[in-house]
Order: sequence, then C-alpha cells, then structure tokens
Amino acid sequence: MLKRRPIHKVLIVIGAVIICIYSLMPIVWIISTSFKKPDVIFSDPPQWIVREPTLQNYKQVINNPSMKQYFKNTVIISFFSTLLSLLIAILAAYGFSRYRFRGKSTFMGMLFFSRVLPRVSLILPFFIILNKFRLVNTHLGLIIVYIIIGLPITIWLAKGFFDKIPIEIEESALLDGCGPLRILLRIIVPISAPAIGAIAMYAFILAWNELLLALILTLDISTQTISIGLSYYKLEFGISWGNLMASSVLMSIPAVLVFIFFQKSLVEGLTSGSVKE
Amino acid sequence: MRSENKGFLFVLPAVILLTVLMVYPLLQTISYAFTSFKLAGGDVIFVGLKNFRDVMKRYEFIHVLRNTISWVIATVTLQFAIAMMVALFLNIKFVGREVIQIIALIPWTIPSVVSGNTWKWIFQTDYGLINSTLRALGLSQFTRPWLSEPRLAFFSVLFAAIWQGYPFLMVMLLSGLKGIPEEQHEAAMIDGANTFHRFRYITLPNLQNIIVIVLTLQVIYAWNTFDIIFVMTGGGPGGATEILGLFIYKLGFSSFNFSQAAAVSVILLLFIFIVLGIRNIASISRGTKHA
Repeated sequence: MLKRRPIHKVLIVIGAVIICIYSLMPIVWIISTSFKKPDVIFSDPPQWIVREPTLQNYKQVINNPSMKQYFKNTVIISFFSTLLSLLIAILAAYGFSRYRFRGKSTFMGMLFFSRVLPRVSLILPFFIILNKFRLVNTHLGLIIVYIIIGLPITIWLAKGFFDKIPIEIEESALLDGCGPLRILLRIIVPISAPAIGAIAMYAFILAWNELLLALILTLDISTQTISIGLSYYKLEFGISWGNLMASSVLMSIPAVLVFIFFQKSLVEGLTSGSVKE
Repeated sequence: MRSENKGFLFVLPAVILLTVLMVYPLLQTISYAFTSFKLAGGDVIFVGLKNFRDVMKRYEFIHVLRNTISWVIATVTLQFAIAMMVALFLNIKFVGREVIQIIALIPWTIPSVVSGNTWKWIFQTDYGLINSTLRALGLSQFTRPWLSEPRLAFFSVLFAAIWQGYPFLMVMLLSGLKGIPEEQHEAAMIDGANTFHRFRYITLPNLQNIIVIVLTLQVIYAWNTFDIIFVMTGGGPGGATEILGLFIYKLGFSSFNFSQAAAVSVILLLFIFIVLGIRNIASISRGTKHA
C-alpha cells in the first residue's frame, strides 16, 4: 500500500473545497435570494446570509393561480408519462433481455440511434404528427412525446438490470407452467424493484424538467408546464427575482431529492449501459 | 436465452410507438426538407434543394453555423478537461469522497431552466452577483454587461452550460477509472514511473473506449443545446449565442417556415451521422490494432 504524506491530505482538502464551491455556489445563491425581501435582493454588496429571511416569495408563488396551474400540469404529465413509459419499457427490456427473435438487432440499433438523436431535430416531426392527431396543446400529447423520448434510455437501463438476473431463477417457475408474463410480473419485477424505482425516477425527472418540446406542443396555460412558466417568468410577472428564485427552488426539489436517493443505481445504470455498449 | 417469437410481443408496444411517432415523422421531416410544405396547407411540390439553398442564403445561417461549431468545440473540450480533473481527483481514496461526488453531481440534476435562470441572475449587469461582488471588492473597472455584450454573452452562457453539463462526463470517466486494476499503477510505480507517465501510459489507454463513447455523446448533446441558451439570452444579443437548435426553433415556430426548418434539421442529422461514422471508424481501427 502507498503511504499518504500529510501534504497529500492538504491537497485533498483544497480539491474538495474547490469542487464544493464550484458546484454549490450558484445553488446557495438562488436559495439565499429566494428568502430575501425585495429591497434586500438588490443590496450592494451582495448578502449571502439573509439577515431577515422571509417566506414572502414562496407565499406569492404558491398563491399565484398561474403557478398553481403550471405545477398541476407538470404533475399530471410527468406522472402519466412515467407510468406508461415504465410499463412499455419493462416489457420491451424483458423481451430484449431474455429472447432471441427476428429483427432484434435492428430494433436494438434503432433504440441506440434514437438515444443519440438530438431532440432539436425531432421538434418538427413531433409537431407534425401530433398536429395530425389533434394532440397539440393537450396533456395527452406531451405525455406521449415524453414516453417516446424517455423510452430509449429507460429500456436500455431496464435491460441492463434484467441482464444481471440469472435466468435459472425463472426456470423452476417455467416448469410449474407459469407463462412469461407471469414470470415477469411475479419474479423479475419484484427482484428488480429498486432498479425499476430508479428508472421511474429517471422518466419522471425527464418529463418534469423538459422545456423544448413543451414549448412547441403547448399553446396556453391549460397545458403549459412549470419549465415554460419559469422561462417566460419575466414576461408575465415583471422581473421579480425573489419570486423567480423561489419557484426555481420549488421546481428543483423533486429532481435533486430523487437524485440523491437513487444516485447509486442511476449512476450505475447510466454508466454501465454505456461502458458495455 | 429463449428463441421464441413471444419475445417479439414484449417489444412490440415500444417498437410500434417508436416507429409511428419517431421514425415515421422523422422520415416525413426529411421529405419536407425537399418540398414546399406549409402547415397551413396548399399543394406540396417537390422543390429539390431549394430549401437548403434558401436557408444558406439567409444572412444568419453562416453566423449560426460558426456559433454552433465554436459552441461544440468549446463545451466539449472544456467539459472534458474539467471532468477528467475532477474524476481523477474523486478516484483518490479519501474520507468523505462519496459526499463530494454527490455534491459534484448536483449541478447536473438541477433542471436546465433553473440553472439558466440562476446564471442569468448571477451575470445580471446591475445587481448580479458577479458585478456587485466586483464592486464590493473595489474592482468596479472589471464589471461588465456579461449577457448583453455579444462576445461576453457567448462565454457567459458557455460557462453556465459547462457547469451544468460536465458532471455527467465526470461520472462516466470516474466509472472507467475505477475499473483500472490497481496493480498496473503499483507496478509502474515500482518501475519508477511518475504521475504524468502513469496517466499517459496506464490511465489513458485503459480509458480509451469510454473516452470515445463519452466524447461522442457529448458532441451530440452539444449540438443539441437549447434550454440554457433559450433561458439566458434567447440566442441574443444580436444572434451572438444563436446555435442550430435555436435556429430550427425560430424558423419553425416563430417564422413558421417549416420547410426551411426541416432543411436545417436534415443538416443537423447529417452532422450526427458524421459524428457516429467517425466513432465507428475509430472503434474499428482500435479493434484491428488490438487483434
């Protein structure tokens, strides 16, 4: 083993501090801004620690009817797109993981390709097809689109996890006469519950954070999501940085919390998917 | 592995969805690039390369293309450099390493709309954190209109995008680093190799595969950037931060010029094919080298 000299310890602490400052400084700043009264927000020099913190910004945001509607739309769209994409992804991943069938490699290739397809090149196709089905400016339209853009990665992740489950586990059930669908639901899904949880969270966050597709596929507040609300904030409310930062904090909480809880399996899935590839 | 056609039934829903709602419309978009399609209706006639010529004749086009290329090169190289340094650091064993790793990943988890707004607020000219800190330090001569001066705006947005995007690269590189057997480093140290030599002759060759993958993905993501620019500058000032993604959005959904937007989408797809092609060539040549 290598012995670590004290100078190394100092360097490690310096490195850790630099990473923390770089990563967290902007985040601490939005949180601090969100608790400031309007007159303190523009104080010069900048005030990092709020002397008289206020919940005023949060109250204004929560009581704002447009913000309520944005949040409601986002929750509906994220929830249903997650649920459906999970269902479709689990089925597909199981098929890819356990069966050989004609066209399999073509489908896998298609999946990989759609994973690297830039979203900006898809905005026209999505708009055209949803317009054809009269789904522009509906919740369903966005739900479908988020399922599609999530699928390549959710299938990939689920397949990676299923591949690790030894096939012998299924064999006895197969002898007992269980159909493949029952094996999937009774054996595979329960075993991989934590992994499926991570995949669900991935799909949820994808929909929760998405801006570009929401921008082109919604027309008014009846369907617009929180990301649109925040990117158009100043147009609608006049720049109130306090309110904007408070709603930014509210919007980020699900994503950050979910990540911290699921980071191990998410990071594992995302990296192993690409390392093996 | 079972070879029954039942497997096909499992993947069928996904395949149908992807075909109907992604592959088919994508092909349609490509065909629109060569026709006079308008959303409002009217005859759709084949016009050959007219849309491409028209797009290239637009005064913004060369400008947007140049911005996009600078954007891709700058984000990818800078993110890679930072990601590599942080990954090497987090590969050292020390107490609290996992906590630091989570902290380093947090910027990546923040919604891009939020990080866009955050950096817009930090770079804001009158009351933004940077300028008011400079003033507080008595360095007023260094205060700048970070987001309203074209050249600076490009770098400010770049800075924000790197902050948000590098952690993904970092975590990929880190997982590659963790896979390198420690014995290789120990053996090299016994042979008297210094840190740089070990990085050059052990770490880099071991990471070769993952570096190719990560750079491919990152180049594609960089072409694809939209949210953070849209929120911070909307492509301004004076088009200084407008890249292909915003250009397609504006052509299609502000000017409602669908066929030209389709033409730009096709150009973008061509770039992606080129990148993937280079990647495949790279992995093929590596394959033969190791064979």
